[in-house]
This record gives sequence, C-alpha cells and structure tokens, in this order.
Amino acid sequence: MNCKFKSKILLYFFLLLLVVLAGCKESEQPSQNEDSLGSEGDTLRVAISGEAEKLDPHFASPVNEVAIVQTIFNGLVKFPSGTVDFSKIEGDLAQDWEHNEDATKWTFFLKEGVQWQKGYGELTSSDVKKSFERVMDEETGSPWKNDYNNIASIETPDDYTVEFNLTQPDTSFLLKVINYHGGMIVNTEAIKDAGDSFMTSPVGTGPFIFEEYNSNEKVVLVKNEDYFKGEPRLNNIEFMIMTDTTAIEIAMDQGEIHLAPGINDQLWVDKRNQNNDLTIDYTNPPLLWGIYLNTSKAPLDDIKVRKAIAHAIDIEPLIEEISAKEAASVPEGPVTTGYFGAANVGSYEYDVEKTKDLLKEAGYEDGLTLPTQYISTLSSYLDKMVFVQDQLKKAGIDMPLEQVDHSTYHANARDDLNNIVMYGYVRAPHANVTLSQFFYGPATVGTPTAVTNYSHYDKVDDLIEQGSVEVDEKKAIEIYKKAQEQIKEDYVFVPLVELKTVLIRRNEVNLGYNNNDIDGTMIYYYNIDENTEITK
Amino acid sequence: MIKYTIRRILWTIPTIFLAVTAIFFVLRILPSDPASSILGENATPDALRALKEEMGLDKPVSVQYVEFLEGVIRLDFGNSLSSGRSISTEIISLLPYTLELALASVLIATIIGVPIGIYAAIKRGAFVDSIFRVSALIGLSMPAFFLGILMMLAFSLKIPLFPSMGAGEGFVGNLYHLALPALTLGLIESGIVMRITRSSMLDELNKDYVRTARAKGVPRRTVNLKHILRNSLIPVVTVIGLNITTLISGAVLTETVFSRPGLGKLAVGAIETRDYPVLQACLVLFCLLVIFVNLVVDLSYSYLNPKIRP
Repeated sequence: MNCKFKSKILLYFFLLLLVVLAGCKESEQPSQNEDSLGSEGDTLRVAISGEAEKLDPHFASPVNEVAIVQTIFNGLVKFPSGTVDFSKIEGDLAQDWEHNEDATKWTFFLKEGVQWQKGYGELTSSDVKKSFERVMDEETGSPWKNDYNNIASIETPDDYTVEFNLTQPDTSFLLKVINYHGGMIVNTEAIKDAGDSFMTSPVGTGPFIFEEYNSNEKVVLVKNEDYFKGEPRLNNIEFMIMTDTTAIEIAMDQGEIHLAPGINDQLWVDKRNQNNDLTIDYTNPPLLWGIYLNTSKAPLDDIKVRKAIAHAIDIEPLIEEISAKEAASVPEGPVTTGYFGAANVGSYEYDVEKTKDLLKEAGYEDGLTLPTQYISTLSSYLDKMVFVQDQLKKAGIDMPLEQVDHSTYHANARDDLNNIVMYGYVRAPHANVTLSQFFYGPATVGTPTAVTNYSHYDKVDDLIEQGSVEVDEKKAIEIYKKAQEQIKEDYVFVPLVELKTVLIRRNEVNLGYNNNDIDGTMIYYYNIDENTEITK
Repeated sequence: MIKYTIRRILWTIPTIFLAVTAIFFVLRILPSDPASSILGENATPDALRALKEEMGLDKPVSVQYVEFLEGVIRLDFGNSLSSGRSISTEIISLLPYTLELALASVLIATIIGVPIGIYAAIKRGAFVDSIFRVSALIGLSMPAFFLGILMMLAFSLKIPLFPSMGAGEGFVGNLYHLALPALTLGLIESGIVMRITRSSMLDELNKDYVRTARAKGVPRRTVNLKHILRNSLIPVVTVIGLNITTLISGAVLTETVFSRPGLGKLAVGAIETRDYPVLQACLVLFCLLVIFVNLVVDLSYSYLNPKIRP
C-alpha cells in the first residue's frame, strides 16, 4: 500500500502541475501575438509601485494610474513635456484659444482630424463638452468635480469650437483644461460601451493605446500609429507593477526596467550614482511641506502662540539631513517656488529665545501643552511631524501626537479636528490655485464649500478675488505678492521644506523632449510622449 | 471509516463558518474609511456618500454580514471596489500563478530535501550530517523575501541565467520565469522536508524489521531505500501537506519580490487600497484552502493508520 500511495501522490503532483501550467499558458495567449521578437527592443518598461486599477482619467489619482493615463489621453492644452511653466502652456487638442476682456468666457479652437483610438471616429467639440460635463456631473462621482464649479455652461457653435462660460472671472482657467485629471478628454461613447469595466477600458486620443491589463503584473500599451502629432517611436510601453524597491534596483541594473520612481534619500542616491548606466532626475514642482495653524481654536487663536511655534522650528536639519541633498530646498513662502505668482517672502527665522519671550507674553511662562494632534502613519507625514514635535519640545512646547491611518488623518483634518495640520502637496502651478484652496475664507474646513483652508483664514479674500479677475499678468503678480506677505505676517502657515520628486532612468532612454531632461512634471513621474525612444 | 469521514467533513462546516465570521468582523474593526481611501484626498463629501451607498457601507453591519455570508455560499464575492472587476474572475485568473509556484516549490523541496534527509540519516553523527542539519536550519530561518533578493543578485544580476521579474509568456517563458521564485520557496521548504525525512528515517532504522532484513542478508542499499524509506515517507507527506500555510505566506513575499502576479500580491494590493471585498475574498480563500488541506491530511492519515480512527 505504501508504494502505491507514494507513487499516486507523486503522480497527482505532476498531473496538477501540468494542468496548472497549461492553464496559465492559455491565459497568456492573447498578448503573445503582439510581442513579436523583432519589436522587443522598442518596448519601454516602466516600474510602477502598486496596482493601477483606475485608468479612467476622471478617477485616476495615484502616481501609478496618472502615469499611465497621461500617455493615452490629451487635454485641450498642455505644458511642454518635461516642464511646468504657466506662461509656456501650448495647445494639445486645441490649436488656439482666446478669452474675453474679463476672462469669463474662454473659447478653444480644436485641431481638425484628431482621431479617437479604437475606431471611435474624429474628435469634435461635442466630445469635449460631454467630457467636461461628465466630470461636473454629481452622478459621475469624480473627485475633481469641484475644480469645475465655476463653469456655468459649455457651448459648441461648430464642430471645432468650444466655449466655456464662467460664473466668476478666472485668468488661470487654462490650468483647468490642461491634460491633467478632469482636463483630460474622454470618449463618453466608449465609456458607455465598456459598461462595468470602464475603469480598465480607456479610449483616448493620445500616442499610446491601451492593450492589456494583467492584474497584479503589468499594464501594456501599444503605439497609436494614427496619432495626430505623428507616429510614436516606441512600439510598446509595459508598466510593470513592482512593489519591492530592491527588486526594482536589480531589474534596472539588468536593463529589464527603463524608468522607475526614486527614493528621496541621500544614501540611496549615492548608491545608485555608482551605476553609470543610470541618471537620477529631480523634478519640479516640488511638494511644499508645512504646518497649517488653526486660528479658530485656542491656544492658536492667539497670534503670539502662533509666532512662538513658527520661530521654534529650525528647518535646516530637515533640508540638510532628512532627504536627498539635491531634492530639498528652503521654501520661499506660502506658495510653492516656481508657481505663477509665487513671491519670495521668505520662511520664518529660527529663534528659540524669541519663542520663549512670546510664550511668556502669551501667559505660558511654564511652558505650553497643545491639545493632542492627529497625524498620519504614512512616514512622509509622520517623520516630519515628529521632527516638529521634537523642535517644539526644545522651546518648551509639548505637542502630543496620536497616529491614525492616512485616510482617517485627512478625514479628521477636513472635519476640523486638528489644531496643527501637516500637509505636503503639488497643485496646478498658479498662486491663485494655492491661495484659493488654502487661504481663502469660503474654502475653510468644516463648511459646505470647504477645500483645504485648515487655518480658518480669511484676511486676504479680497486680494485673492482681485487676483483672479486681473487680466494684466504684472498687476496680478503684485496682488498675489501682497496676499503672500499678509499671510506671512499673520502666522497661519509655517513652511518647512520643498521636496522635488526623485526619479531614475536608464541612459538608453531618450525622453524626446526638453533636451532629454525632465525639469518639471505634473504627474510626479516621467512624461512619455510620441518622441520618447530607446537608443541602442 | 465512512462514518468517520462523514463526521470529519461535517465538522468543517462550523470551522468554515467561524473563520469566515472572524474575517468579516476583523475587517470591519480596522480603522480607516475605504470610501475616502479610494477617492483620495480630494473627494467631495457627496462623492463619498455616493460611493459608500454603492459599496453598501451605509447599511447596518448585520445586513452587510448576511449579504456577505450569502456571497460566500455562492462563492460570489462581488466586484472589486477600486477596479470594478468581478473578484471571482480575478481570483480564477490569478490562482494558477500561485498554485504553480506552490506546487513547483513543493516539487523542488522534495527533490532536494528527501535525498539529503536519507543521506544525513544514514551518516548520522558524521560531519556531513551536521553540515546538512545546520544548512537546513539556515534555510528554515531565512525569510523568503531575503533569500529571494539573494537569488536575484546571484542568478539574475551576477550570473544572468534567469529573469528577475514578471511571469513570462507561453509555456517555456512561464517555466523560465518560474525558476527563481520556485527555487527560493523550494529551498526554504526543503529544510523542513530534509529534517522530517532524516528524523523519521532514524525512527525506522532502529526497528526490528530492519534488523531482521539485515540479518537475513538483504543488501544495505535495498534495506535503506526500499524498506525504511517507504515507511518513513508518511510523516513527510503529512508535513508537506500541513505546510500549506508556510507556502501561502511564502508565496505572498515571493510574488512581491519577483513582481509576479498571484493571490499573494492581490491580497497585499487590496490591503494598500483598502479594497475590503477583495481582501475578504482572499482571506476566505486562504482559510478554505487551509481547512481543506487539513481535512485531506486527516482523512488520508486515518486511512493509512487505522489506530487513530476513533
């Protein structure tokens, strides 16, 4: 019996193994036709650090997803690839545009002959209208809906003209129609056809066409031969889902991966620099990290306490030691350096003695204990908040922290539960966007029109409103500068550090734009366009 | 025997029920709101409310629980929250990857572990025996992700024999990509197999029938390989079967390190995105797998050894 038993077991193992392997082979077959050996050299392999399940640009939110959708879709306008500069915005689907005197009506003239992928015909103005109306529709549930609250109506006088009528004047309206988030033009017909699987069936007008989604492994795109800006140089792009950073490093050294996210850490940078086949990039706009002080709650409603906190934090170590040297810099004010209208108003000077005097004046001679603050367990948030906690402690201010899950942290901050909110972000690169989200009365958290005004600050509302209707760029810059100076004087935001995004690529990749250099990107990742190629 | 089998099978029902209930409630206790982690930081309150309704999270927990149980019975776990795809389809498409990894590593573990175990038992107390025992201990204590990275550095980067990532295409590509991950898991597993083979061989070596066989002049080789090995393989088979849990946790880590698709990676991804239905389905599946394997081992054990049958 033993002999029988043993051989049976072995036999079952082999049979099962074979069946399983055969099963796998079957599921792989559809992609086999595409990858003929000859085209192997022109496949760009890109590492993404997690699942990319929402490939509908009106929902895509993490870097993984946005990096993919930006190669499939277009906006009306765009930044030149590899840069982020408001004054250099160029046409994408639109060849030209104009606005009326008070910037309440924006007209875009579309390029003719732009074809949808997968046989959905030519792009017309009504497609553009439907795409924006989709984002604006409550039913759709897009997280970018509020970006378009200012649009009163969209009209299409002919097939190649789109007119946006705005409720309020908006001189930075172009940023709402760039190829980013809600500004990407989707084909509502294709979305309807895809039914329940619309999230993973993207159809756009861009240089690459969605081909295959291998859950947990990769997303495959193939070139769009009929792309309106010319045939792309790459044949395929494979976005490989790789969660292990060491695995990414090995795959890059081997040449199996061409583009990958980097790590903002000097040790990592030094180690990777030893490999001459690789280039490390530091991209703008930086994330602006800082703490927002809630002026509606004691004890922070007292400006002396806010001042005490601002002067107690020495940001040097944060810049010198905590991140990669080339990626970190001193913030210049409440608006990220490089944004249109950002003024260099400087950060607060470090002066513990001043803090102690201020605390004494405010009646906290024996030291101050702040209420418990929630903080995210995500290390990028937690590390910085613990750093602030440590600095405050040296100046006699205790700030107890309670760690909560990242989404709970953001939910709590929006429910106005924190006195001090740590936040780091990138926004569309225009002072008006930052100011109207973080320092504008109606954007106060806990109100129906809330955005991210964690400070309950409303002292520059007039200036923000003036700025958004000022058509003259120079005058607008002056107005924004005044607002930023006022914000600094009122001590509602303590800027800590500006961190560029670290990316890494193999040298055989020619990005194909901006002299093969990526200075800026809105997607925290490499832009890939029709000119990107792999050189031998 | 039939009575015992039926009773044993019936006993799995309450076990499954308890396990599934525990999974449901443990996931509900977890902090964080799935709706806000899906929609991200910029979600509007209205969109959040709409998504919660769609996900059924606005219903009372008792109602959610009953719906969940119904789903488990029908093996229908609903749709993924983040991608909207059917979870059952997803699992069916990923199951082969994890199974082939698990089976291939068991095979490798057996091929490496059994012969070394036999050799170590025969040479008990000798220098080679100690070497093998220490190596097995190192293998057992080595985390899968660490060995995986070592294997990648050695056989993918320094000596470029195998690819370090992906699942490959076609039958040959599949096996080629399977090599390193399976070797990693197999080596770790072979430590256990080797130790069990060795100790059960040693048990048998001192039995009377062995002495008798030797006394009547049967060649040593025949005694070792025919008489002893056959009898000592029963515990080995049991241990391999029961080790399914090690294999699953090993597969989770190995799939991550080697960027392979599979159930482990699905579960890890679901944790990151707070995709409750997917996570629930993965956990239920792992639970069912462990319960099933335990059942099979129990039944085959009592079939082979009537003494333990009540």
